[in-house]
Amino acid sequence: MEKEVPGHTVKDFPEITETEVMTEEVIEKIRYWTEKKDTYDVIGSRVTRLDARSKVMGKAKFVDDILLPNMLYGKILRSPHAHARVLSIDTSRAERLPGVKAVITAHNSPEIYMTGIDIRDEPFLAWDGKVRFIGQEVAAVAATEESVAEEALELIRVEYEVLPAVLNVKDALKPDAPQIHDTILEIEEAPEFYRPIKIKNNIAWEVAYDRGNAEQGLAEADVSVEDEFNYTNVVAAYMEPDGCVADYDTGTGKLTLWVSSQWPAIIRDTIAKNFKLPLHKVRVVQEAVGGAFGSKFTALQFHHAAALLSMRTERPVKLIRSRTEDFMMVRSRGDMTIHMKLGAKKDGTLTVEVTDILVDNGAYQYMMHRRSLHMLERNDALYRFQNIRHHFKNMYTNKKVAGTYRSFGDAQMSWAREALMDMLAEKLGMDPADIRLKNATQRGDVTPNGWYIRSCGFTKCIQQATKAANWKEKKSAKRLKYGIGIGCMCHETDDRASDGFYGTVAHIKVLEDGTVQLLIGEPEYGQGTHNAAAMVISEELGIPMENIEVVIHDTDRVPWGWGALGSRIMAQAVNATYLACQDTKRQAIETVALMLKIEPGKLEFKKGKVSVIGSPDRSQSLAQIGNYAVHRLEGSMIYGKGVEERFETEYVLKSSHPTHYGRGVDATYYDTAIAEAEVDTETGLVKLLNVVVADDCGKIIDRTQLEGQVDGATVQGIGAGLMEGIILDDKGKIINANFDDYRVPLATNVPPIEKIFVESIEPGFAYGCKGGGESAGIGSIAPAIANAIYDAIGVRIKTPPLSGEPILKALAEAREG
Amino acid sequence: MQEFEYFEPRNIDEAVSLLVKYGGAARVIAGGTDLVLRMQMGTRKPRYLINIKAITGLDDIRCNGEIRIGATTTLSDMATSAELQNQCPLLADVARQFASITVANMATLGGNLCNASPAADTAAPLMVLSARANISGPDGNREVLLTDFFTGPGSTVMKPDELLTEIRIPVPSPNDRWAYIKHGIRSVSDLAVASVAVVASIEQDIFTNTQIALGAVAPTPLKASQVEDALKGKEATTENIDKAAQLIKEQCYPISDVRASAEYRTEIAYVLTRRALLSCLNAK
Repeated sequence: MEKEVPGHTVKDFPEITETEVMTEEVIEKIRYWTEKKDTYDVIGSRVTRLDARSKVMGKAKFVDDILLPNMLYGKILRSPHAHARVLSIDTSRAERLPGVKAVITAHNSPEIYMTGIDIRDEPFLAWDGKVRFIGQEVAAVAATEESVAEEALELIRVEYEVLPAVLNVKDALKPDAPQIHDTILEIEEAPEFYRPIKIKNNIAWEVAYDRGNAEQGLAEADVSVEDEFNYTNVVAAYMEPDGCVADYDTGTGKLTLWVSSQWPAIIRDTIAKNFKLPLHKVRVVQEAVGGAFGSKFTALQFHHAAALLSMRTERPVKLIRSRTEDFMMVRSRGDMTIHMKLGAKKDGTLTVEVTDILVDNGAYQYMMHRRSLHMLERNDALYRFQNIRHHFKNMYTNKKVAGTYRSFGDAQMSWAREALMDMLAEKLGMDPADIRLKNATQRGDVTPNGWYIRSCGFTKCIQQATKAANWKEKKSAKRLKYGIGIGCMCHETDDRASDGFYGTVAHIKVLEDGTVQLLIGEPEYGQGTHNAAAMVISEELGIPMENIEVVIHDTDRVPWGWGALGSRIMAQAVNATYLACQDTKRQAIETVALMLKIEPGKLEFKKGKVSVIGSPDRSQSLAQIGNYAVHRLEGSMIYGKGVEERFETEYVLKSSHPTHYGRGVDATYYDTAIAEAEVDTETGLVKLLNVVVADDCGKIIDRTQLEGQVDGATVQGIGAGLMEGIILDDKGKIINANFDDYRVPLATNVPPIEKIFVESIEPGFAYGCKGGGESAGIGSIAPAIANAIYDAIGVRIKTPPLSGEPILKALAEAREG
Repeated sequence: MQEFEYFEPRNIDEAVSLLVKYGGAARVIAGGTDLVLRMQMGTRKPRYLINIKAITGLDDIRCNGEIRIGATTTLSDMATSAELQNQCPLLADVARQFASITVANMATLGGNLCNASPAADTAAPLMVLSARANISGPDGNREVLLTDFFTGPGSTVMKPDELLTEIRIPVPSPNDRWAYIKHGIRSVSDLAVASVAVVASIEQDIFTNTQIALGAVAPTPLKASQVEDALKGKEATTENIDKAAQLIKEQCYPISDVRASAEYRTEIAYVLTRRALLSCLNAK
């Protein structure tokens, strides 16, 4: 059945039945973890990463290090046009080139026709006869040498009928705009409400809703501010371009993929589904990953192409993107146009927020409708918004596909919101920090989206950051061309939007010598999840870190895990591993009970040993226990299991509600960034003098890794604010697809980042931890810098990146009035 | 990357005879920091690569009456050369600001000049230092002033069968004042949006001889002759400097590209020229 967009104006929301946020259970958990907070040996300390040595020595295996016998090299032919019809493809010359083993196009690949998640609108190798952005896959080749594969691409003749391209969202909306999609071809797992099939005006998705009473909020506002902000597309710029090795064994029918990913489980599931393979015949392996930052998320066309080439040739196929290809193809943050209005009373209390947002999806929808909803929910959880009106359109354009780069929309929302908060403060004659303090979300709040806030150190973040930065004094100092600015952000730990199991499973094996292996459903891709999980084992079982190995991620070996999204996996891996440790201790005690023929109730587990309560000399080490379990109890290895899941679910309403109202999150986390900047008004260059970030990431598990996360996020935030940005020519081609012209910050552009941690105890996770990967600078430093620049030169620039030419232009415009 | 035949000549004659044989189908390679990237991108497809790094004596810095820098001398060697620091600190400073350390360890002076990018970091400074390029070809050696070396973006006076072997620079007078400013958004490791090099003699508060050249503001590195002339014989004051520096806006004709617009480059050309001259004025 066809339903037309637009028209999802939503007025009715289910009542939240439970109104008590801080239930007895919640308070008890917070009390429990707060009391233990300073008693740990390992948790919160600094340890050497388990994989540090192999990485420093260059021994870690990345995808490109995989070399298999008879391996072929795959290459992809990409569309040179932003919008075109594919009239014909002639591969005959490429097929005749010596060394070429397979050429695949839509015409000879009936196995696969669609890729994408949620909305599968990405036709495999343009089988629907259309290309919609420069870089889109048209054909793929496997050859004995990479250079032969490249040569073969040049021999493929494709005849295109070039169509007019749409390169920005406002053009896309025009009534006479070229239509990029006629229909969305396949929607999967989307609730019934979302079944728009016919596409009009290039609108992929449109939702409008009110919460509270927006009209009343507008009426109550003594002052209001309103403006339009444009966020510029940035990429994650990770070190390792994406790629994979596919090996299909024709004898067993098993497909193995070596990937560089943050979510191997979804790659397994997607590949299995699209190739109609049973799950036991798809294996996804991941060793080291050179960064992902949200952008190596799921099975993309190149994974499918590599798998298909391997099936055709019966040989392994390695397919790695070049850096230029990676710039073209990586799912980036995307452009966004945000119109926002904020209203407040004279005392600074926010009364209303109204948004009108155009999200640039690029050529395909991917999962950008989810992002639109999620970013608004988090936006609304930062300050105590009560009356809200949101309206967004996800737009198709002939640009690279937007995606999930670190923050999932928060960086964009913060860019607009934090500028407006400063504008509001100025209009009210308030200190920008004070207006944020006045409206900061507090523990015990229910957000307009129905989120229960059970840990919140946001107020402390603002207080401690402003104190460390000497805010009051510096803000009042009127130095020429010098400014100080503040920005804040809220992110969530975990999205449990669907009705499946969105948790993590951890298995602990105690080997015969007392060393331990952890098999966990979550991958390690550089961010330190595995190290944090090992620290939990070290803490709980009382064994040194070197006695622990976290087994590399291999879907044939590890249990289920939901993957790295929404800053969830550290907290969930810690929780699952903590529970697995409790199970391991219980089994160890039961084993010793058999060894010593004593009641289990008379035994305790302490510091790597099980001993008789009151007689510490009567004890058994983990080595003795592990050995006994295997060799004296007929192979009954100690195998602890932990299944992480929400500790309570009562308030989670059906996520199938069109606006995700009541979508469950485990925790929210908060941050504040302060930037001091000096502006060279003759060249426009911005020099950062000082950066302070304060984060509430819950109880710290691995201090060194967390600091690394915050430093890295802040540097990426500085990049997006000052110097990064995808630049297109008028045909839609990226003209800075390299690290000369796509400038990421260097060490000299980043002052020392002063880091403050507010450890608010979160009842949902072991130790009171929450996520930290998308905190601090990723969204709050860029608006803090923009606010500092405004403070310095009195001009507000609404489109990043700011440094250099944009500042001179804005100053010239200001002079001309 | 397209396949190519690779040669490692042992001396200049061997290199030149390879160039005579293969001419336009060959490319000389030294550090490869520019050429290899272009080959990877497919914008250069040489059938023959002639690596001149194995030629002995081409990577020396000698300061003996004049400064002689071999074509395969790396920018790192220039940056760390005590002799250069001593005799020609301007050039040492240019080398220090050149690029990231990893690139500077590979990139050579000859490569930077022969690529003939309008933004080549070493070009403008060598022009103001009155440097000469020593070029070997089938008919022997010839010398070309750096100011006459560049003919357009990516092109020089060198013929396909010629090889740049050495740069010769008269030792600057210790009384000369100098300045070099490279402008990029990241300040370091950036390809220049614009750059300026100045060598100035100021005697009794009068500009007696001022040499100014800019990078990335014209199809070739540009000698700012109008600014130079305007300063000649003028009192060294901030007013005169500002007035003269304004003239660069008339003389430069930059392009708009991925790094900056022509308007921005024009404005920056003026700001950099003025700042460099002021820095000379305030030196000592």
